[in-house]
Amino acid sequence: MRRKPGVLLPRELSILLAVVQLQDRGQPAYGLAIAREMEKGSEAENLTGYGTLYKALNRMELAGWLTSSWETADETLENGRPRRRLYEITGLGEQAILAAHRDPGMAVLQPGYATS
Amino acid sequence: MIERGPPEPETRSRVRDTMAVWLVSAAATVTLSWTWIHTCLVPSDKRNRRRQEMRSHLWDQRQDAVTRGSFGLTTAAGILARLALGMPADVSWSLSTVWEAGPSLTPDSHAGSWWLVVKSTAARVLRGPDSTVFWSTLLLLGTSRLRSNLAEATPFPSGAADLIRLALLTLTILVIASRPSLARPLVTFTAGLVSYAPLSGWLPSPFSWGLVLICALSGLFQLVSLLTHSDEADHEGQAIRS
Repeated sequence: MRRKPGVLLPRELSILLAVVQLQDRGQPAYGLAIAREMEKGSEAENLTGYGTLYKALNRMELAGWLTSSWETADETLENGRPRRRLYEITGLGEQAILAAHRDPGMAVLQPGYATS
Repeated sequence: MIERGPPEPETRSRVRDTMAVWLVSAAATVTLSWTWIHTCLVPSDKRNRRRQEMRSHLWDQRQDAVTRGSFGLTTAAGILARLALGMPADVSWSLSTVWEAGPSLTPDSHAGSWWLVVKSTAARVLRGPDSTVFWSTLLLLGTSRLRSNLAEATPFPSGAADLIRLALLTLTILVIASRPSLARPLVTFTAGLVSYAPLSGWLPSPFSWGLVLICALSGLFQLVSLLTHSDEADHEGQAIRS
């Protein structure tokens, strides 16, 4: 079954919310942090497959809901850590969350997330 | 007779730590190898990005496990479970990316499929001792690609590619000089390390012909994609880059 363009899937919504929550706390949103945040928000300890996560992130970037960039080399030098890809939510992404909140049929909202 | 008591707690702890490191490293290597395989035909920019993201993710996951004090079997199982859960998405992402890529497909990647076809076919067809020269040529061509492939995003540390290449070349030259009968399989193996052509020399025929078929289909797939998706993929490629 093909999805409608512009429709936010529950997993995508939970990724957007994870990015927002990380940003609100002033923490960088990278792969593992997003996955942890998503798992924290779910009632059961739902594991997110690597492929599932990165495929969704890629798709959401193409849709304009997220932007991403590599962190600078200086930040990784201290302990030889590989560079992280950092994600940020865009205005379109925020609108998508609001739209999902207004129309719950479009996507399932994570409990506890309030939009003003 | 000397009685041996139970191992010291310190020794047990050291063994446990070593096992934990080994398990987690093995799980991470399996994951990186899978990433390396499923992104092989993906255009280089997306391929490199996915491989680097995976490498970074696994590094973070290991550090996170150390911080939480759960480093060991749990971490390794978690890595493998996440790998398995994401495999269908990995395959569908790779296939759709290759299909949509069109002009953004690098000549190297495009030529790589055909190179595989040629090498795999040749490995099955050429059998006599006269083909040693042919295999040596393949080896030289192959190891030059081996270097870039290994250095790119495999689980091997940087610098290992050069060492492996040098070791294989030296070994092959020595074997060709002393035991010509061993030259063909060895050269087939070393030349093919860059891709999957070595399998064609050692695996049973159905496997190697299957490999040839898959490579040929992949090459055709890319060619058709290249010819039919030029405009659309160009726009998408620009969108991704911007």
